[in-house]
Amino acid sequence: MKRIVLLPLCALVLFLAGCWNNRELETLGIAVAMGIDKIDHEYVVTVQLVNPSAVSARQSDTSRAPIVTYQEKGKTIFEAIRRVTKVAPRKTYYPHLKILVIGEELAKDGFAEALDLLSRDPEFRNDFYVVVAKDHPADDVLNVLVPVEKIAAQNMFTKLQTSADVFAPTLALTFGELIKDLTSHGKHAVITGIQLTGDAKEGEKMENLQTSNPKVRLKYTGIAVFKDDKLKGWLNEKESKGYNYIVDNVKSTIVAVPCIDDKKRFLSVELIDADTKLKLNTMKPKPEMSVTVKADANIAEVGCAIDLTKQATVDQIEELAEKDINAKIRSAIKAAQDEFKFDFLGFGEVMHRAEPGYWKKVEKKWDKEFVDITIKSKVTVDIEKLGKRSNSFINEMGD
Amino acid sequence: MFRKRPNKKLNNDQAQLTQENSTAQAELAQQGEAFTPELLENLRRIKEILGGSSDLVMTDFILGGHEAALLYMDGMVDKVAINHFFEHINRTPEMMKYSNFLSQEEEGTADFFKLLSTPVNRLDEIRFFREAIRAILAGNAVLLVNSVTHGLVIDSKGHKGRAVTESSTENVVRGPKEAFNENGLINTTLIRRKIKDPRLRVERKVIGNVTQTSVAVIHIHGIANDKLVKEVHARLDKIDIDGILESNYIEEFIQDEVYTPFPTVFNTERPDVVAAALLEGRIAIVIDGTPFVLLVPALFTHFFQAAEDYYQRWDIATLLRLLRISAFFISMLGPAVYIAVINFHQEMLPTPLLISLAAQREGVPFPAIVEALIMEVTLEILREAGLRLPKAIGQTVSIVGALVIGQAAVEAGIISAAMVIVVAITAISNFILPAYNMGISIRIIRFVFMFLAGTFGLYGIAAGLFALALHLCSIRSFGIPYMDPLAPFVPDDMKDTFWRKPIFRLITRPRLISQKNNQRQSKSK
Repeated sequence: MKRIVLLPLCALVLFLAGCWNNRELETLGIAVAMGIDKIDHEYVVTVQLVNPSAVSARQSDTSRAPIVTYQEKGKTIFEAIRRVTKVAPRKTYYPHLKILVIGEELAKDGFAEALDLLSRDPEFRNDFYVVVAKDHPADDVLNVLVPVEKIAAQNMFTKLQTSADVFAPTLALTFGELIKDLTSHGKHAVITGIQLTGDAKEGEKMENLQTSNPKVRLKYTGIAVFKDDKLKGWLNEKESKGYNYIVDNVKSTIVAVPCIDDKKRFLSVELIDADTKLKLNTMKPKPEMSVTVKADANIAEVGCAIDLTKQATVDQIEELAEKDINAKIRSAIKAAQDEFKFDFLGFGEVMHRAEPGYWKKVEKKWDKEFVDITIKSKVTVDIEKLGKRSNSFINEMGD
Repeated sequence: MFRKRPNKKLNNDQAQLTQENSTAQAELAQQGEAFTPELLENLRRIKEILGGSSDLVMTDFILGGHEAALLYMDGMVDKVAINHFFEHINRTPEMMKYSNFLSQEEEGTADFFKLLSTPVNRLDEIRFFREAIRAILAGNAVLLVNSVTHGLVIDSKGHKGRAVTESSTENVVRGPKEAFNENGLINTTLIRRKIKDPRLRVERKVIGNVTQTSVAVIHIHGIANDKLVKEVHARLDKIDIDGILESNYIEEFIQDEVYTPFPTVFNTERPDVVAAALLEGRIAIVIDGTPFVLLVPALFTHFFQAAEDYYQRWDIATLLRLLRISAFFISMLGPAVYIAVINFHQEMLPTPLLISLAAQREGVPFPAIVEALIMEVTLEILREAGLRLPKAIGQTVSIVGALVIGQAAVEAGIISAAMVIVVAITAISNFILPAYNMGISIRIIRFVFMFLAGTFGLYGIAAGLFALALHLCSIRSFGIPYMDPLAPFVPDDMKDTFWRKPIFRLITRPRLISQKNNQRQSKSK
């Protein structure tokens, strides 16, 4: 009898909780991208929400824009976010955030204060990418409608991922990694830049989706270099690539080298696996560090008549590719040591691991030390495959 | 294995013993009236007891110069058997010699009846009306002779029942097809034909004050645990009810735990399953009038073992069993996890899936939990309707009904398409379980989990699973822990739990069930 009474009582407890934190799916505004700018000491937060019914594969309503953005100001990020609820029809939901765009102005001023909420609030993950909007405020970037991937944030996300994977002048940096870089004394942060081509206003219209050659596009360009949390300048493509070689971020990329004798024609070497080691060579008399890159490569494209069946030719190509990569690495090192005069390449972390005692002494003034350190670089490229044919058909065409 | 209540059981035994003594005496007193030497008086008395039922047949004839009568219930006897009996005694030359003895001392009757006995028909002597009535009602014929105070029961049960047919509830692709029918005698025979061993013991008892249902307890002596056999008998003897119409009447009396959704008694209509269980040391209870034979003890893992697991090669059997276990979880948690994820843990979903689900939910007027309940209840209604309807219509109702209603509900915007998929998968997973009664239990539990998920999300599901595990570990079937061999963990018995090892590796019997004579095959092979 006691049991029979007890059971319904236990069942009632279920309802006491009142379904706390229960959110029906259709009440969520799924935020996929967030932009942060600063205007007149106030943060401007732009949130890009998905319009599910315009995106869903089955009942896709193509007349409606797949995304919608809301913008609000606030003294803190959180205030701005909560203020968004005044304009957004649903409560914004952040775990599915794909990308965070930091406006260039905010980046120059220092953006660290803006990130605390994102690293504190449990609703934010730390696996979304962070990019810096170059020449534009963040909200312009988020307002662009883009084809193929209906959701602009997804577009930016995959674009960054692919270009970082197969081309390498960009850097797919997640929020978690950024926080790690910001707190590290041995490495300053760098963030990939994103740029808008064309008129920002045009990009907001559906017409931008309806043409095969959209007027307004989003493009990743170069890498922004930060000292602590302040934007100090941009690396060009060559330096960006060099940077990625040094931090061992290159998975696959292309090296275009001139045909051995013919300086006007080129051939492409596709790196399929590159491995970088940073090392402290010696401490005496002065610290000397080195970058060693070992890469496996294929010949991807040959634009001239050379005899690839000869080992000597292949050796020469390897040498040329090594030279090219080495030049990129040198340019990145030069940018760090001569132009910016601080270490965003991570040599400080190498020093920290190799000489913890010495590191303790120089930790605070590492950037000054870094500028004078000799950094050697060595690149080995090993060409393994030539593709479907050995010599190019150009050889057989005759002159 | 009875360590939980050894004292209680001991007391029970003693109580049982004294009770038996007293009942024997009481029975003697209760036997009541004995036959009189007057045949007509005896016949009148029997007719009176049976209230002049029209299906009682009495035939008069002369036997060895004396008036005699044969009594039986029309339709319940095998008339061929009775004819054989009379042909036999008419051919007996000594018959005439004894024509006079009947008027002599009573002791002579025994010899007389012995003379009548045939090699095949079993004959029993009786002295009381009560016994005669019981025999007649069981389908036997009773022979009464004038001036003799003994009667003779001729075993002639000949009820025309269903033939031995293919199993309708437990189908196999490969394996014996025969199934039990409603005749308890045929059922025991089917078992006996599988196990031709002198140690196979069949003990009969009659349960049901009015229905007088015959119940047979079968075990293999030397393999089954004696204490367990005793316990089964003790529990059966305690049953005092007017009628037993199906094995569930007995199941509910003898099960260990009443307040549990889980079955602690196994039922099957396949003789091969019973034989396999007997060989493991389990005990079968065959009840006359139903094709479903009970097996005890029944453990949780037994409900996931299909007969076919042993008729297909071990790798296939293992795969199927793993599939069954995952289907068990899908069937139990499917809608619950779906509700929890889309109501509480949207961050768990990949973004495209979340967007797609959100688009489907657009315009659905109910919260997910209500949506799920509507679909689940609809499905249960359809399933039950499909079961009760005539076979031919039944399938149409369940399949077409589910599809059509699901489709229409989605189009009407009442239910989201994803919910239909989840509910459908859940329902199908439920059918994969070989034991129907376990399937029903899971259906009940599924609703509990749905409520937990609707109020607490995955946290609720986790708490529910925790409670479920505690509950499962707390119940026992005839003293054997229900979760054996998982809890208590018996490593050796894992060989036939989640996976099945090749048959030549199944060397020992389940340790806790048999507890003695564990070796099934020699290890040398």
